[in-house]
Amino acid sequence: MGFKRALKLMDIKEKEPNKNNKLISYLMRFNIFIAMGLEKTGTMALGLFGDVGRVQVFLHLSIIGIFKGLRIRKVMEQAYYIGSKSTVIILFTGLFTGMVLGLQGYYGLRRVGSEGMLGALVALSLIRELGPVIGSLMITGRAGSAMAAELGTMKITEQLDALESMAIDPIHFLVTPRLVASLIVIPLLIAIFIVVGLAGSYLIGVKLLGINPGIYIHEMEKSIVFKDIYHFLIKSEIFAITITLISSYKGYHCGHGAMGVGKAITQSVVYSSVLILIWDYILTSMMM
Amino acid sequence: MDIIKCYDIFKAFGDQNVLNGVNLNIPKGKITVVMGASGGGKSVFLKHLIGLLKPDQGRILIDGNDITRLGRRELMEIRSRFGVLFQGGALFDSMNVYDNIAFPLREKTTLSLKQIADKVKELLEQLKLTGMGDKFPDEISGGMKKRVALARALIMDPEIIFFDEPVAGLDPIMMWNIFGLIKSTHEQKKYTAVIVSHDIPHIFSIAEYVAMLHKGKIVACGQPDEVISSPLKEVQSFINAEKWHNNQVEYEKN
Ligand SMILES: Nc1ncnc2c1ncn2[C@@H]1O[C@H](COP(=O)(O)OP(=O)(O)OP(=O)(O)O)[C@@H](O)[C@H]1O
Ligand SMILES: [Mg+2]
Repeated sequence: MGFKRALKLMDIKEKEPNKNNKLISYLMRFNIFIAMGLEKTGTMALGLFGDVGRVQVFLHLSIIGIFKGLRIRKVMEQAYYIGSKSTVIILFTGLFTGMVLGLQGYYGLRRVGSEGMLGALVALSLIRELGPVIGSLMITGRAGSAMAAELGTMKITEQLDALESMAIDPIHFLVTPRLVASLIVIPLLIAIFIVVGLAGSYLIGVKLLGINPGIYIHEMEKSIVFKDIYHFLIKSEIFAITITLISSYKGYHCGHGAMGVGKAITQSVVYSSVLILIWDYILTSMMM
Repeated sequence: MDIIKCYDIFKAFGDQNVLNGVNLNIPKGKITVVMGASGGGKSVFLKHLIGLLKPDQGRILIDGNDITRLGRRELMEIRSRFGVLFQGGALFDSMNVYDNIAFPLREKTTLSLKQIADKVKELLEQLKLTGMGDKFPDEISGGMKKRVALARALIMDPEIIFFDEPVAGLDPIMMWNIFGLIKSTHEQKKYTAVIVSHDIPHIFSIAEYVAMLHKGKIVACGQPDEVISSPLKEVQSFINAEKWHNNQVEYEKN
């Protein structure tokens, strides 16, 4: 779907005088980039979406919502909600991922006689790859599914219609705060995942397997460059958008009754997970 | 003066034709009652008037604006003059009763917390819901939900209010209470009311204009007494259902 058509669908004139005009149009191009990614991966590779255009418009509307007045209180509420739902699971999965990486890495590195590199290996894989991916998958299961359930229930009980009838745009009211909250909280959660993972592998490598702590830390510090952090940031933000967008879209357009909500939840988790892995490949290959 | 004008509205879901060319003008500042058989498409019709459903064909003019053709922004502008009571209540289930009623005020006005609290409290009292403010929608009875939804529809003092079955499922005392409330607020505020109801004959006590939806068409409309004395079979069988039913039984016996 073209840029112009998307604009028309959203009832926004391209030349509308607005001080945020440039930023919005920039963001829109960014959205189209994301949506095209979804479209390509979605329709070509897997046929995930019947209607990618609608997903795209959905994303546009929720981003435009930021400029129509962002409710800080709602964002905070959602941030708290997403964070409180996912912290525990992030701590656990992070710790064990780090620990198993420590074990496996040690085993592999010992064969080539460079156990000292363990810190570097674990840190790189956690920051660039495993942190964003596993962390996002966990958040999808916890917070994404909850989002789909909430919006789906609101849909089938006509609460979304009620919002519409009060002249409140449900996307602006419900999805935008979730999107902004996700953009803030999900990278933080993933950062926690990484830190805990590093601690776990330190525990295994240094305390259990006896690597020299000085070497471990030194190798780790030496190997991390800014580009790795950049990988982490870009991936977490894009995964955050994917999770929120898919979960709220699926909830918003859910089918009939309890079964419709159930299906929306399942689909949102499955599609988000698959898309996260596909995105991960695309982003990694683009940023290499 | 007609505030809402519907021309030839058609709507089908799959191969089921629900609306088959509805033509109806709704007078401004009056209480209009739309009646018709259960499953006859009254709620669907109402959702068209609010712009939640788009007709397959036909036009709906509200104050001269064709809402089937408006962009989102203009539609929202028109909707901000509406209050809607949904048949199922459509209360926000993650908010308590108080917040549900205060919601439109908080979102759409700049009233202070105190002013909002006063308005909500007054309505709660009128609807015999005092002390229920802290309860959540799943903690109150069906009739209470209906009243909370009614309060939410009334709180903004809108120009046009749509009531989908405002008294279904209420006891007679509460029913008359609600009718009284609608009547008195209507006398004060002079809003346009569109009420969907089958509470015959009680609803005639507040109706100022009546329309009968039958098989997806408006078969009769006019002043209440005009409609009551209409010779049409559809209307008579609906209004005098008991007599008709008894006659039918008699007829079948013989
Ligand atoms: N979203 C929908 N999708 C498919 N069919 C629908 C939908 N909404 C309503 N219908 C159908 O339209 C017809 C009219 O429904 P509607 O809810 O308008 O009836 P009603 O006149 O309000 O009845 P009641 O008095 O029982 O509330 C029904 O047969 C229903 O099955
Ligand atoms: Mg109905």
